[in-house]
Amino acid sequence: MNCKNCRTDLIGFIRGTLPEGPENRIREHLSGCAECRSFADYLRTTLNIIRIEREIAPDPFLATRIEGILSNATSSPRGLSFLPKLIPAFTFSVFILAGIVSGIGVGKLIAPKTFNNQLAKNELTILIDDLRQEPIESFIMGLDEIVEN
Amino acid sequence: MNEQEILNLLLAGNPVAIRSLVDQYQPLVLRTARGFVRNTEDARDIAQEVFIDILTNLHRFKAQSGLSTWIYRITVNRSLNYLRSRKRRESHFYYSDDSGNNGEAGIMNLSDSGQKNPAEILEQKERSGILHDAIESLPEKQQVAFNLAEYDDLSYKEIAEIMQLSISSVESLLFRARKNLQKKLFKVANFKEKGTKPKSWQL
Repeated sequence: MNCKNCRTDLIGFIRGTLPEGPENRIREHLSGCAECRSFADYLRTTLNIIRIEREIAPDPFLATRIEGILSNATSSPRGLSFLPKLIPAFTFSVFILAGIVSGIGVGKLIAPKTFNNQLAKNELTILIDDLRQEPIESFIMGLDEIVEN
Repeated sequence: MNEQEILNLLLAGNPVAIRSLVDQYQPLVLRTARGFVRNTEDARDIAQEVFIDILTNLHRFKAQSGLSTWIYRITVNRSLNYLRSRKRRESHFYYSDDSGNNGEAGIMNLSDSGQKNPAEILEQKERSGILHDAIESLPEKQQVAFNLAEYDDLSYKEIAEIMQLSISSVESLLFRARKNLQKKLFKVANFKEKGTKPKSWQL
């Protein structure tokens, strides 16, 4: 057995969960390989931490605390219990509304100013009359006929 | 008091029921949660949440599996949620110092060590950090299977019932979990032998 195969299930070997054949092969390799033996010791020491960590003293006041939490939860007024759920939706709506109003305000600031100019309207009218003076057909056909007023 | 008696007391709303439930199952919940977190205080916080979950969702317990199986499942789910939220909180800046404390204050928890020599306590804390780093790096299902096998000493059959998988799937998960854990710990052990320290800055 080589080092790579030995390290395939060293944890199983340390825990004693391997079948007899693989266990004997690993034991034989470890007896002759210092590096694998060193790693097995490191693994054994590290995994022993689990044995220490899992022994936790129970909290004697946990039941009392839980009874207190549950009784507070049931005694709070039911009519107002939906309020905390509404707050995020309300906040979001306020932000949306603020965005719309500010957008309208910014749009008004940058909109071009309009002015009342009778002359410009008359000029526009004259331009329209020009089209009658030069019918579109002759323009397209490229004829030299000029229609005078 | 057996499972059925506790369940009957709980369903009847007996005031003694909560205390009986907590007394009976607190060690189980603490042990299971401890496999997922790095210190006893976090395991106690999770235990409190688990019991509140149990008592507020008792109407959902269908008795198809045993009460302890259901409690294991709730504890595993709560522990995984805790890990996920911790990773989200640390995603902006994560620092793991060389002692493996992962940014937590290096307060020595003597109740975890069982030893009195300060040097041994420090070494144990470092190894604990390395071990939990390695366990947390496993895929979630492998992590769950490994913790249930190592921290709770559960059989393949019991783990399969909790994870709602076949026994062969659990065997495969455990084999891969141990293999991956060995690889990660071997890398760390190699670093230690060469006298260098693993890079633990993560941004």
